[in-house]
Amino acid sequence: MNFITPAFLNGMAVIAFLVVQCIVGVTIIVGRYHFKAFALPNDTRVKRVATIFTYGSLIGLVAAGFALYAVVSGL
Amino acid sequence: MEIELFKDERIILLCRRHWLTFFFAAFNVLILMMAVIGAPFFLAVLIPERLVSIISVYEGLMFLAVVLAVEMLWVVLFLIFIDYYLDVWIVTDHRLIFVELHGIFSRTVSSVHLRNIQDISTDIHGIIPTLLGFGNIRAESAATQGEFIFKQVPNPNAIKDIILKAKEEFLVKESAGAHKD
Repeated sequence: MNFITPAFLNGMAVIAFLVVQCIVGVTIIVGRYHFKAFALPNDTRVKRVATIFTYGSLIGLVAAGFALYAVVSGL
Repeated sequence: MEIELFKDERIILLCRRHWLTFFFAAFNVLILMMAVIGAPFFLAVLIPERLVSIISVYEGLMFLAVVLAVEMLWVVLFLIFIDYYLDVWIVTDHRLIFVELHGIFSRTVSSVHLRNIQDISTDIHGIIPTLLGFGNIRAESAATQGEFIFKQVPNPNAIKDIILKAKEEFLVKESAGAHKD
């Protein structure tokens, strides 16, 4: 357990942040591609939903970024 | 749209699963999200005084963990919506088209011509499907795949009637066209 130092925890936090953002980013991009490919041309509802999920993910990215900054800078 | 229709083909009906199937799946995720967001507040109330100073060192990490967990659940909600919205069953005046997503990197698009449909049956199982009127439609065809299923669609009997009517009209049009030739 000696290796669980603050630096180690900070490193794990950064890795977790990057992994989650990659998963979220890939899922949103591929999901939006599927909507574009399979939604009917006049389907405004799906465009709205895709926009909501995209903006929600961006808000999550910003919040996670602030949280990571707080962790790494020791706030 | 990725599905190509024939020149004279028109869409009669586009169906998806009943909205309740999406609601039940999404509800579980939303409950989990609320539990994750509420967990730190519960912990703050429940943990003993002597542990507060130890736990407070990891406050930043806990906040980061909560945010990342909520983000992952948000993506799960998105996947549930994609799975619900993009599993589509289309009835045209020529054929039935089945689009099913199995995860975001796997998709099946198949179609069966109305003339190849041999048998259609519906089944509704359970209290809630019976009360709300949604169930499965099975279309047996002469094609290699054999059976095509509309899953958990609303008013399956009405949709079955629409398919049978579309098939009848197609066969009449086809034989009228053959006689003209």
